[in-house]
Amino acid sequence: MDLLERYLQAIGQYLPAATKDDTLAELRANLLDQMDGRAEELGRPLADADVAAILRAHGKPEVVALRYLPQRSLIGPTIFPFYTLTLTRVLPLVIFVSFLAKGIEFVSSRQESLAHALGSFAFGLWTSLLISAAIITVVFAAIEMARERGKLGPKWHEWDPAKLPAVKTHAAMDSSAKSLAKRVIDLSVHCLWMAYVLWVPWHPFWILGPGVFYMDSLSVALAPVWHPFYGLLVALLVVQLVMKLLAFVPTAQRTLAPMKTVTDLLGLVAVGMLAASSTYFVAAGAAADVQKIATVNYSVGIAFRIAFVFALLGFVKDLWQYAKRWAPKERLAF
Amino acid sequence: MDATLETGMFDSLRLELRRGCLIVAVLAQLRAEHYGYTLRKALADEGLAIEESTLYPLLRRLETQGLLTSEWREEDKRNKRFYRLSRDGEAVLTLLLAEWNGINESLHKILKNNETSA
Repeated sequence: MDLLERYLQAIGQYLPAATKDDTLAELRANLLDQMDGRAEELGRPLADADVAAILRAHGKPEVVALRYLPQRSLIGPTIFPFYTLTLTRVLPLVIFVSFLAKGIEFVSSRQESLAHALGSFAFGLWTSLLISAAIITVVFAAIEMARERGKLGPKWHEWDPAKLPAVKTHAAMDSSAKSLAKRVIDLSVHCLWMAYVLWVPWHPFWILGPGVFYMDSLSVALAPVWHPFYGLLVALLVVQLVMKLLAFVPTAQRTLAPMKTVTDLLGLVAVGMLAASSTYFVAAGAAADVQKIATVNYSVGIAFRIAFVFALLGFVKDLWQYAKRWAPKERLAF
Repeated sequence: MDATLETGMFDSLRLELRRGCLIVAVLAQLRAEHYGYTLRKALADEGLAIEESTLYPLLRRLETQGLLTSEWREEDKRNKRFYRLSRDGEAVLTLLLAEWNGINESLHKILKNNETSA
């Protein structure tokens, strides 16, 4: 019966010390009886292969031993939905905060390369997500333990239907229809765009590309019109940032539509300012080719005027749709 | 439905159904004294086959909950652990059987109504 003793020894490795001898003695007795019954059926003593078949059918030693341990869940079925909900709410926020922190560090550093910043962000994000998930899991495991011991109290699962939020209106539903993940991605992309806009004045290559060398060869500089435009652009991005943050606040959804109108107007004014100007580049030295600069200014001017026309059309369309949604229907009966 | 999916789903649902009945069957059978091996055989003879690796830990758990009592005794030159229903176990079994009969009755009514309306 060497095989049986080896099997019981393997099971014993996983049993608690207090009950190990008792449990193994019981298992030994039952398995021996089972083997006697099998030998009687076969009409002969059991071979090793017969014993192995019985032990195999009984189950893997680890699985058999684990069934003798108290049956409990780290996070049980009652609490588990809250656990997954917390993970889906918190982890996107961790991504956003990590992204924001890295973005601020990158913009203020001016020496760190973009590739290095992205690499350190990805590595740091992985660590942050892992630690956050681990903390949430530990907290919920503690809650489960308290619930099993009856320490949560009867009121933890009570709720009052009267405290349910009111039915949402069109604007609120349009906004909340965007999933949390989409809002986080939207916000993250916007922050990336803001960081780029704030970073570009010191790194013109990232907006003009190889054209910056051509500009140097022409001895040209940016005209003064770009300064107020840049200020307006930053103001517009800040307002949009506020809007994207308010998208996470259910009670602030009513403010989003009018704020969008404000940002559309700011954008229109910014493009209009450039369209109204005729000078975008000025001579920066005696070597400058004035005729070439004039040609570039003329071409860029046409492009901005076309852009302004389309921006104006888009603004009027959005304004009309906003008015249709909020104005009483009888006033729009034409 | 795919045959593999159907078999897998049925096995899972059957396991859920049997899990609920197993405890009642074990408590009922232990109105008479048994040890693990003979209990398994007795249940199998009545049509309720249970794996040893499921039954033996279940007996320990029911004893920890106070529904069974046990003692070691020598039989056929071998030490065996005999189980029997405790007083608390008898009370719980009575309640469980009442519950079981109630569910059985309701199910019969539902099935009868379905047959009538079909």
